[in-house]
Amino acid sequence: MGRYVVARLIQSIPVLILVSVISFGIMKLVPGDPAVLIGGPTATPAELDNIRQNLGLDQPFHVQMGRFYAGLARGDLGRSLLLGKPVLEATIERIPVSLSIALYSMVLTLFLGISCGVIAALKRNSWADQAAMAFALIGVSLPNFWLGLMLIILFSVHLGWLPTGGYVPWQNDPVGWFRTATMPAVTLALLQVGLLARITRSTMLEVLRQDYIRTARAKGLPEFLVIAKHAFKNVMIPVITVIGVIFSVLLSGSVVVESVFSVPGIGSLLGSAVLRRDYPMIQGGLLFVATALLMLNLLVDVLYAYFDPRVRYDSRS
Amino acid sequence: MGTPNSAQLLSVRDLRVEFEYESGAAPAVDGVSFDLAPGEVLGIVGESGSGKSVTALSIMGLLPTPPGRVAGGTILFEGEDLLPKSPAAMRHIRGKRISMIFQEPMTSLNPVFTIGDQVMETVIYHERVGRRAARDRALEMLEKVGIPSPRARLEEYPHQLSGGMRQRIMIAIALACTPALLLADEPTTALDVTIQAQILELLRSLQDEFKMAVVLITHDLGVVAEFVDRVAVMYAGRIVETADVAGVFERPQHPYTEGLLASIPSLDTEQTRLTAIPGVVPSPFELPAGCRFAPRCRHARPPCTTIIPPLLPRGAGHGAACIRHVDYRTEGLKS
Repeated sequence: MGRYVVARLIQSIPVLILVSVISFGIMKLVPGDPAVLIGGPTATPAELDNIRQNLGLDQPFHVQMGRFYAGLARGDLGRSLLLGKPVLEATIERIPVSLSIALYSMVLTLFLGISCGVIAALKRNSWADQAAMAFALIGVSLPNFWLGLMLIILFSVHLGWLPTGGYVPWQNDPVGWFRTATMPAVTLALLQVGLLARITRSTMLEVLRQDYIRTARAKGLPEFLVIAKHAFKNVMIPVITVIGVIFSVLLSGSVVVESVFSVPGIGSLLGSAVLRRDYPMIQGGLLFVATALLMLNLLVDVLYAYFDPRVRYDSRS
Repeated sequence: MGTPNSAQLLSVRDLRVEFEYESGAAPAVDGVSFDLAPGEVLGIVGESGSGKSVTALSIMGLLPTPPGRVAGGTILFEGEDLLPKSPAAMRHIRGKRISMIFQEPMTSLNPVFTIGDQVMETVIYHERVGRRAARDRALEMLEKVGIPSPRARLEEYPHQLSGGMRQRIMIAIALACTPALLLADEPTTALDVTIQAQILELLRSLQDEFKMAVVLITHDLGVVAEFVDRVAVMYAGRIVETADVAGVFERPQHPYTEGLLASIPSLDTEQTRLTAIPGVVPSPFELPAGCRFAPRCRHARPPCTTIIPPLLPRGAGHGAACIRHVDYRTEGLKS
């Protein structure tokens, strides 16, 4: 297993290099002169020169690239133009915010998605199946910014149960964290629950038709064990793969949802960086998100090997 | 064969199983009756779709419902009717008193649990023993079914074993709680010929050692000849002939049994073509009235298409369901 993880880590290096090239290329790919975009229409030529010098845009291409990678190697992703502090610092500050909401949302997604899917499969074609699948379809169909706004109108404006936005760190006040994190997490989760429920349902139906389920019943095992042990671990194999996809959608969804709920996370940071053309921040954010996704994929593959022994042993040979 | 015989280990009377679809109900098993003494080996022989497996699944209480449904009859096991039993009561019989092994060893084991876990599970559940005791039993069972280096195998997964080895594991699981009855549904069909013989040999020696009764379901009369005491030949959901092995092979009384015997390739005579029974098993949706074999029977006469032949005694322990068995043989000789 250790060798498998190391091999996977080595495999992710080329991807990281590619991501860094793209992230560096952003400055080059921007139509027009980045200095003009940053300086705005009122900037004087002297101010523009100043901006170019600060960003190193007056240097030849290879020098710019060399500086970028030298900085990267030192963990220096440049300074955010807007926040006036190092990009790395600004990113790291906001990781716990986004990560805690993402994990909360993931737990909700897994719980609701898997249980809806399993119930729908076990009670196939019953009203429970129909209800679970209708719920799933509605969740997939609603745009998350709209859903977020509706939740704010209902729970904050009309009922007054939850604050309209903001964020309270868990370590300061767990109750406050729950009050601020719940609506963003639910908004992000509802989009994914449907996908997960449908995949769980179809996989469960497929697994229940397998010969080994008949064997488990022939052993005289109670139906609970047949489902929760023999079927469930097999159902989890494709579900794990989907969880990786779900997490990546969570990350991109957080840009919109964090803005709606004014949560100071990576998503809203990236969102405002894009809107205000804070290029070093966009570069750094892109690198961070790509690295996070790579790590997540690695985690998914390791989990996959845990659930499916056939993968475990294939990797050894 | 009218009333169930509670002196027997298993006594099936007038079992009727239907499969209900939108297009209508299909009788898969239609009035099957047979008895099985403790330690006896019965072979149920027939083509695909004759109702052999459905009969076994009904005994296990594992009929897929819906669409399957037991429409009538009794299944007396150790003096108790299994059909009215609750699911919970059946669970205590399945895997403990009655076990079953299946045709597909490649897919019958759960791919994500170890061999040891899958063998131990039955023992832990039925005998309420700890993991250590269950593991000892699993090891003992793996040795009994002839698995080399059993201790290492306990930690392995099904995909690491061959089909023959997996069928041995299935047998180990089935016999782990020393059942009184083993239902073996085509246990060798999916295996290589050389492995088939090994598995049959293993089943025979274990049957002898455990003194258990076995119902061996097969389409292969060769398998029957090697292993069983008595044979029931099934056709389109009914038993058409039942006799001891010698009776079936030497004095077949039903034209279908004769056809099956004639279709076994012979090494003694020079044959250029195999003899096949013309036609196919009728669909359960379009069963002929009267004798269901009549459309394929070269001895069929007008009454065969209207009268359902009962299973009539043809000598000691021998029965056949053919209204014309008195004269079809002489006629057969003439033609």
